[in-house]
Amino acid sequence: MSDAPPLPLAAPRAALRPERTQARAGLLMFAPALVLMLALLILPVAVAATLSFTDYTLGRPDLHWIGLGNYAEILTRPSYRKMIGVTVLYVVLVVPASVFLGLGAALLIRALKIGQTFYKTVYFLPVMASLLAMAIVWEFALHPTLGLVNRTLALGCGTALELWPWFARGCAGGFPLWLGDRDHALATLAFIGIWQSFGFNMVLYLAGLTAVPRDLYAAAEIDGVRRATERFRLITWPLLAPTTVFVVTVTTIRAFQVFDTVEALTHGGPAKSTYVMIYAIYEKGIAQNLVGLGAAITVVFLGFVMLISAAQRRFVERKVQDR
Amino acid sequence: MATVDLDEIRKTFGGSEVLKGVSLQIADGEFLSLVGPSGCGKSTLLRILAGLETQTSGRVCIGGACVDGRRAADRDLAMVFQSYALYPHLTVAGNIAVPLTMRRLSVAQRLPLVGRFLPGARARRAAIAQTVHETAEILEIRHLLARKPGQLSGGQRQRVALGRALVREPAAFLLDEPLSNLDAKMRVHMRAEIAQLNRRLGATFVYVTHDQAEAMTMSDRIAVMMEGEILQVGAPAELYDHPAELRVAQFIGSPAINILPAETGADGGIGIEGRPTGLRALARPVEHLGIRPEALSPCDGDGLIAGRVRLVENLGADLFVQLEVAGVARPVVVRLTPAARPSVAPGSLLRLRADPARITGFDVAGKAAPVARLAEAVADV
Ligand SMILES: Nc1ncnc2c1ncn2[C@@H]1O[C@H](COP(=O)(O)OP(=O)(O)O)[C@@H](O)[C@H]1O
Ligand SMILES: [Mg+2]
Repeated sequence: MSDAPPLPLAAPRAALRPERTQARAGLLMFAPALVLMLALLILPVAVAATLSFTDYTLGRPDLHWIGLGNYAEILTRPSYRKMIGVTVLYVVLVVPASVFLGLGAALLIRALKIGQTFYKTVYFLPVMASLLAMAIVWEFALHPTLGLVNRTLALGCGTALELWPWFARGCAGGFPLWLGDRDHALATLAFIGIWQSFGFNMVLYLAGLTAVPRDLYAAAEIDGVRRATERFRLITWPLLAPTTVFVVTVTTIRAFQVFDTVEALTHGGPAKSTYVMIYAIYEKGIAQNLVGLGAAITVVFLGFVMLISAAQRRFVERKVQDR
Repeated sequence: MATVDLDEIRKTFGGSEVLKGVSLQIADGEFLSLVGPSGCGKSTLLRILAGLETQTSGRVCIGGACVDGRRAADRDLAMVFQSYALYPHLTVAGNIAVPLTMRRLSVAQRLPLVGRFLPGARARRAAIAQTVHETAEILEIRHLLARKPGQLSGGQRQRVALGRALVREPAAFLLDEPLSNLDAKMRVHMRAEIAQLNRRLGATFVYVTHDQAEAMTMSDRIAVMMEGEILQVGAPAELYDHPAELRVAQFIGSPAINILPAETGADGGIGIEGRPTGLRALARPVEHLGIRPEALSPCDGDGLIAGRVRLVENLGADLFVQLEVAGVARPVVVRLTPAARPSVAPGSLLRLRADPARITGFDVAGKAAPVARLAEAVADV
């Protein structure tokens, strides 16, 4: 067998290496997807990153490389430093409240014997409604003199509520202007943000809760776990960990992206107290045509988002190892 | 360690009655199996006993004290679930320790972070760790203590679930189909081990299963349950040899008992297909005769029945031969020794006789009806 002369092979070379032909066919087939991905997903980011090193302004024909100039401006100019602070503060205000309200609502709804669908629908309404449309309602409700909020608060004047110093001050000198007050505007926007987003988290948690095996609660009861808080700590919270990682990531990214309420209600004011990043990108890059600067803020923004995604990945990987 | 008494337990789920007045007395230290087909209400009964479900009516007493209205955590029972119900984020040691931390540590001592530094917590935690180690030793899972349930095989998870039950000394152990997720070999191994645990601990075990072989091999007594009722309670041999009902006879034993349609004459003589059997009904007319496969044996004469061999199953130690018998819908199964193999080629005619003492008669309602040999009948039927 082994000393037989090699047979002349008439077949083409390619046929000898089927894996190479296959690889070439595969390359051809996934090329369109690759091109689309590059053109639609990577290219815009690359363009933005490139523009962020220029002073490009829409309408002006010339363009200069200014290196890190835009970034230096973001880091040194107080209004941009404040922008980052305001954005982070908004996120810090919205995310924990939205996540825990979502979890709380989900737990309460699950405990209901009747009316689950009703509560689910009601809490989900703000998520479905356009925030811009709802902004009109909020603007109306929060109007300093005519608004429902301050008029309701005024009803409490002269009652025991005045024992609360903040309330007494409101009665004496007028209640806050809310959106028109630099000390209250961001918190008010955060409140609207929480109101709008927790219903979505509730739905995610409801889905997460259905995946928790009922037997675990029975086992815990047999094991002597009597209190609801300990049941939560032993079973619900740990088993919802993957849901929580996801909910926190999504809520954080969405809070970073807050724009519509700012545009509709405050335009970044008063005194830049609600000047968040996406609004700044919009104002500089689109309204004022300062494309280079807008692009630099965009890159910083993307940096934040990537950081959050990376943190989520680490969490998930650790969980996978745990299991 | 305690007795368990169930008295007239009824349970209705949305209009359909799942338990129809179940009464059962379980002795201290006894291994009682609750066996029956899926959906007959075994789990429901066990959950009512555990306190995880409330009965519609009836009483549950443990150790002489009635515990109705007492929540499961206060009934001092341990339970092993079919799904094992291990806490997936805790290690094996953590899982086994839960029943102890819940009972031996105060609420404050159980708090995360700060709880460890409260007075007495350290010593009690050390004692708990010691008990967990001893339990793990019994079940031979010490090397797994640091792992999470997700990293274990089915059999190992089973042991951890057992460990979590064993770590305390509860009034009784409740096991709900604990072996049904294991492979066949592991199941045989574990059923011997669980039965041994019962002897060793001297504790009361209530064991739910749909597998009659498990019940037969492990139990002191078996309660056969069907459609929400207990049909018969007794020792395995008693159920096997003297089933009180046709349904019990058919459920217990593998291969299943042979049921032959019979007719009873005016004089009480019992016939099959018009041929007298030499048996006589003592009390009520007999509609069916039940004969275990090993109670039949080949004979030369006319015998009780005759049929053509359809299939021969050789299990090594036993030979099960299926016969096509006129007038009997299902094939009749006979157990023979492998030595008989040459004489039972498929298609050949086989005449069988039966040991009259091992024939059970059933009346029209399916209840056992006594039969006896006709006085004048020949020695062999
Ligand atoms: N929580 C429940 N709600 C409604 N029906 C139930 C519930 N639990 C059990 N059942 C019904 O009760 C019957 C007995 O169930 P189960 O006790 O689980 O049977 P087994 O354990 O013997 O297989 C089944 O028909 C089942 O559908
Ligand atoms: Mg069951």
